[in-house]
Amino acid sequence: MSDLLASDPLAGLWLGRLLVAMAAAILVSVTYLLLHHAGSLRRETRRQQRVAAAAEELAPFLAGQAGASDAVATAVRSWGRYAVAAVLRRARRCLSGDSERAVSDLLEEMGETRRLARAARRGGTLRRGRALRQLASCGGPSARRELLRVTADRQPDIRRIAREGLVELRDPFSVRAAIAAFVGETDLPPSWSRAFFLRLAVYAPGELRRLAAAHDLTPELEKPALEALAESGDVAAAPLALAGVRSPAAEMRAAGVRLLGAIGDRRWIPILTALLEDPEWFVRAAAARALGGLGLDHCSLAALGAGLADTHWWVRANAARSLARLGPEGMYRLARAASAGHGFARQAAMPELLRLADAPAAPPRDDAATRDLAPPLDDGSTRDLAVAS
Amino acid sequence: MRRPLIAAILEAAGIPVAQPCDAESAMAMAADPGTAALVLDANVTRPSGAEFLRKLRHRRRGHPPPTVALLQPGQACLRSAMRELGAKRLVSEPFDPAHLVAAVLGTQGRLGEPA
Repeated sequence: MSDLLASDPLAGLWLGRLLVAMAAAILVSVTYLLLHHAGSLRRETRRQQRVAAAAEELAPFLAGQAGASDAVATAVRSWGRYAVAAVLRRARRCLSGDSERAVSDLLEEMGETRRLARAARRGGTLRRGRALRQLASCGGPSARRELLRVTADRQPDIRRIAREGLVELRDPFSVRAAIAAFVGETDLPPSWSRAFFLRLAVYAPGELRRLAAAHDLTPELEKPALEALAESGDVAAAPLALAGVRSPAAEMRAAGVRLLGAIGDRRWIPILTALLEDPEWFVRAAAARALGGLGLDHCSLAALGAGLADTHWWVRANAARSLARLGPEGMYRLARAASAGHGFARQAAMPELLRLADAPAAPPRDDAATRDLAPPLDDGSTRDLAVAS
Repeated sequence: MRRPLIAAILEAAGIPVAQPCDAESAMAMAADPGTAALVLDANVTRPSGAEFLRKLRHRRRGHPPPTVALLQPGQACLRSAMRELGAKRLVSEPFDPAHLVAAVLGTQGRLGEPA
């Protein structure tokens, strides 16, 4: 560079001009980005303010006050279609029963469902997917019709969003249509199947139980189905869990154990205790973890004490954690293992004891006063919290 | 949307409601001995619903107002956490407005246990 500058006196001038031009370009780009960001932020803030104002205005009507249609029309004029539709869609997600249907009708009446159905037919996958998700949150017969149509779309992503949307509509017809579309698919990514089952477990656990019990699923799909039921702590899935723990496939046994643990019925303690001797370590680890949530029992205390000396560290760690959850008697076992136990048992017990020493005291539980007031599900069962731990 | 909707549902049932605008004022209201019941969205952030209840227990020296915790569907872990922290009633979304009213009245002993 210095040679070039020495040989050509004009080169320095050109270089200086180039640097100035580059600096100016960078300055212009940064200024543009900052202004664009500030503009977007301002627009989004205004949009949120309009949504909040529309929510305040519409809330009494969504809670049952007469004149909701007129109120929606007025709110659209005051706060815009976007804000009112956002409020109604969010309200529909919160509500069930007649209130939910009333909100769907309002969305239909203001033309939001029709607009979204149109938007779901054109544009790229991203835009169509967003429209379909919003359509599913509108609910109602028009949304269902459009989602059903799209379950046969060419795009796998769009079909997935349509299936999930149908499940979120929660009525038996839509849920069964979504299941039929799901079963008809081949080579779905595992994460899609898991997400679908989790949605089913939440919105229509009865249908998921029926699907798993009918053995319509491949063995690869049965396991995530059981795990989804375990995630939601579905009490009525106990027969499926018991069938799972008797399965010759270890993965299914582990899924069954997790489901039994999530159900939390103390009657399953002997079964879970026996599974602490399963040949597969991950089944033993799942059983050790599940036993910790079922309360104090002398069988499980002894079995978890023995689990502290298991050959696999995961089983030992879960056994130690479960003993800590079983209260003073479990802690006594841990202390004994830490002071005079087998080398493995000592290693498993010590960290748990140290963790307990650092943990703040838990507040007293008020089980008798705690009830789950979730609405009855489609099959008449209830989401019983007492067993969801 | 949840806060104004819940307030409207409770007010429609004749239950007077105060709506805090942020976490600090919510804590101040909930810690007031005159507060009869608290409806808490368990999924709030900064602080989380569980953290809020924990702090409230501390502020009220282990005797927080009877709490109705609102949960999303599923959320088995959060349910047990709220239960452990002393929430008296747990209501899952989507809920029927009548269930929410029953839950709040139930914390006051003004209604029989739900069927």
